Amino acid sequence: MTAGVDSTPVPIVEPELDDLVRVHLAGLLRYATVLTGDGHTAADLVQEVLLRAHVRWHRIALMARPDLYLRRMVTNEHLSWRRRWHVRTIRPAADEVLAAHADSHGDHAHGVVEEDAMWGHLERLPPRQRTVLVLRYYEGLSDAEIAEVLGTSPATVRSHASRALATLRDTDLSTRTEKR
Amino acid sequence: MSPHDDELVARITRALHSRDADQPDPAVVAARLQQALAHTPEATVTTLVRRGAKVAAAGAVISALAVGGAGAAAAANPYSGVARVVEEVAQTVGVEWSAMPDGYTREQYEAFWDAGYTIDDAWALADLWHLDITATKAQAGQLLLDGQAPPVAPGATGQEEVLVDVDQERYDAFWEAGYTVEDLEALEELWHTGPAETKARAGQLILDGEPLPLD
Repeated sequence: MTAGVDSTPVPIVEPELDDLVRVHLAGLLRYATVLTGDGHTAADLVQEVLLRAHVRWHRIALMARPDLYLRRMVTNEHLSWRRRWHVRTIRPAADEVLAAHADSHGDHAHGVVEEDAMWGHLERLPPRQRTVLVLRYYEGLSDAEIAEVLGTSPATVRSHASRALATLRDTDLSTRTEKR
Repeated sequence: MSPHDDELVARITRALHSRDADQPDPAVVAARLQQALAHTPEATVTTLVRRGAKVAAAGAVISALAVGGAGAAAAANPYSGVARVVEEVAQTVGVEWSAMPDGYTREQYEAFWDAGYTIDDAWALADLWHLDITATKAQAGQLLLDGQAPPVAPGATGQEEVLVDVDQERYDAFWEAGYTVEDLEALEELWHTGPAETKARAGQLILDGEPLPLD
């Protein structure tokens, strides 16, 4: 492997790749990690997306918001992979695991347990509802921007968010009631 | 929004942020991009990137890190320092950005990617072995280290990769024509197809100037 290790400076013949990596890579990895819940999957996913985006970057860069387009690619890839992934993946019984954590840890872990419990609730949401929450509350996007990422309307985004919050509110209340 | 909803949103936000610490190191992923660009002559990139330019393109990935850094995560991790990435490109691919999963070593990781496998090859193996993607890469990497050949050759799914890229053009045609997720779901129901196939089929119709069977 000698690529990039030459003693002579490497000419940046493809500024689009430079832009992709410098401007977008770190943000996409953060988004993909929270979207998938797993850093290794996020790395694979973003790598795949950027390889494709690189080929078409001259077109993507002309868009008003290439950042949103890249998030759309990541989101679509995630939803596509998720279908395959879930065929094979047996998920642990999160509640039991969390209960065990709650029993074995002191106050220090209380916040972590709460976050894990909420994460478990988020994981069980329908994928698009969950994606809307990630884009809204993690990425801080407006409903119009989320609509652009998902290729839908702001009204549909609000509907997804509203249903997701209702589910979480109900789940949260029942979980808390059970604990009392 | 009620105070209870405010609290709920705050807890959702905290839960989401609790996972961002797991993010991979951008420098490692940039190095993997380089690896993929340099190792996949039949993959997507070759359609538009000349082989000769690919090496320079790979260099540009690294130069981007050198010029601008890839964000705080890379800067905060001295192990992923730019100098190391530039000087030890091959070694950097596969470097841990966090604890590697149990049973998955850096040697396996490097053996797998260095053999020229693509992510689609990995998925093909995963489907064959009924393993998750990480365990698949570990198993394939170990076979390579043991001098055996995994049942899918490096780049064997390369043709599929090109087709995927063709599909991407169709996906773009679908979304850029202004269709929505609801439209997609309606077509899925009509055609009894999954979302990817539906988008590809609908996108091709759009590219061909044909109407979609929607109200």
